[in-house]
Amino acid sequence: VTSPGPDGSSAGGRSATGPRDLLFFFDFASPFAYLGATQVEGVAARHGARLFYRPFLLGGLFKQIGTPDVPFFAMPAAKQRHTSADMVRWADHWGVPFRFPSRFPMNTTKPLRMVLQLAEPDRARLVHPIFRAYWAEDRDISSDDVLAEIALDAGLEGRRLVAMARETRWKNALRSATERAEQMGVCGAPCFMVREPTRPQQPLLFWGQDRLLLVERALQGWQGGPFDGQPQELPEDPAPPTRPAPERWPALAALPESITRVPLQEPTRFEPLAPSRAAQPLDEPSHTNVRAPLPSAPEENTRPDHRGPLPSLSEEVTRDVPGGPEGAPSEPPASMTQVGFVRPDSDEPE
Amino acid sequence: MVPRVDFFYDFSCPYAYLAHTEVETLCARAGAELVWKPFLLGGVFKAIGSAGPAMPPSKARHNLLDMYRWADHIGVPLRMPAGHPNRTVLALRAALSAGTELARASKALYRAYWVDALDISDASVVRAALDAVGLDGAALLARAELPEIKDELRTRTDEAIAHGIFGAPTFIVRTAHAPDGDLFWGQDRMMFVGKALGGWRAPAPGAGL
Repeated sequence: VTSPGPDGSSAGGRSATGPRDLLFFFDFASPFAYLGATQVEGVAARHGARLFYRPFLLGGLFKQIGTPDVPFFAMPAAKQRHTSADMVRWADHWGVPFRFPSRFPMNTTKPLRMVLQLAEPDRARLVHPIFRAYWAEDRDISSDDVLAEIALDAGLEGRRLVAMARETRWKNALRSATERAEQMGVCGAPCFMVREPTRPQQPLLFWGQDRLLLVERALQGWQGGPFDGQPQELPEDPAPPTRPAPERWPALAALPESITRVPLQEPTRFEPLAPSRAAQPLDEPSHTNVRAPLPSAPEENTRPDHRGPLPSLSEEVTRDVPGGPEGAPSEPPASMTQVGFVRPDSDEPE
Repeated sequence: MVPRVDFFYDFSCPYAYLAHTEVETLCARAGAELVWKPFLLGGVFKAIGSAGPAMPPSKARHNLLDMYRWADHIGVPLRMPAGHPNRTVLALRAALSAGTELARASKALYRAYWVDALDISDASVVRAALDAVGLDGAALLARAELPEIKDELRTRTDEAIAHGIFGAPTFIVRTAHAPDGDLFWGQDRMMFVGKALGGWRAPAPGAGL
């Protein structure tokens, strides 16, 4: 047994009190999420972390946080050029296949709902083939036939997963997942969250496949910069950074308008959850074991397929409330709210 | 040809500050020539309309934590001055006035902005920062007011726009493989700069991999 470091970390990449959690937030719609997905299993395995797939609807999140629906369209031409080159560079850098799809943007609600139906251990089997189908093989991942075939090839019951993706409860599940992602501070795709067993209420959130080297450091016990975990010490009145936020959308300049402006098949209208929903202990339909009979009702919320205890994200949200074991103030200081510190308790009943 | 990196920067950008702490080592390791290229970031934003809307709070929060994480990761100090972003026109002109000492002046002004957290729109701050590294701050400030120096900053900013620059820091890497230069934006792309100096070049966008 290696002796833990001062922060509870050990050289082996596992915390002294158990494996760290790595949450991967993604939408198939994002090329950078695809690029991140090609690496995330290796990253988790290298550091003995438990990996959790967290699909969410990027368009829904954008609508909620007020980002342009397709931020790429708002970029100046010079930035579009760089972004186009950048995704190819990353693919080449990592040696993974990449081909900009002929269908873009893509309605990804169905494949995302299919992933949500799966228990955590089964998700990887479906996530990676779908990412590859869209971002390397130029397949239409809004097509029932394509999705069913991909799932079948992955050893899953493709037709059933596709059919269930049309059900209201799985539509709601995707809305809930998106809402939770937003509550956890997700601001784009991909995002990675590293959670220490010793300080689960202070997870580190990283945005972008280009932050994976920092994710790896966090999985080795690094606790981020001087302000991570101490949001009350963030500088007062931080002005908008002079460098525009990197945008995560690909270049479309080369594509004809008829392709880039294809309307989504279904509206991706996103309604915020009613306040009471976020406070429910579990608001997600139970995971479907693809080989087992379907659960009779989504409200059962049994999770027989998880390896080891997996706290619900609602529980995580509750634990994140200031005033937890670290003795944080019950009201965040003004500086926190000024910089948009996510207050996951804001929807909690009094 | 000797590989060459043009390093485009403004003092107001924390990521350009972070990059400047590493760019010399990166170039030295690759045997590349490094050319310091100050420009007025605000001028570029104005010209190409890239300032953009305000960031959503969650993104702003990530961005703020992100710069401190990078500073911690590479092991350099970072302190944001209260008034950030401060005007850098005077400091940029003073740096240009230093001529062959441009790099030394730039490093001194970066230190004032991002280590000492001072307002470098203040002439006395600029003078003290330049004096501290053995330059004649008062003389450089006087020179900064000359029309040719003002013109030079304008010209350099126009040059940045012509190169397709839209943010800072930007690296234009010229090698035998890319004689016209490949553009890399962001301190988080410096490993690509290093690879490019070693002859790496990814396929053009649109080509299948």
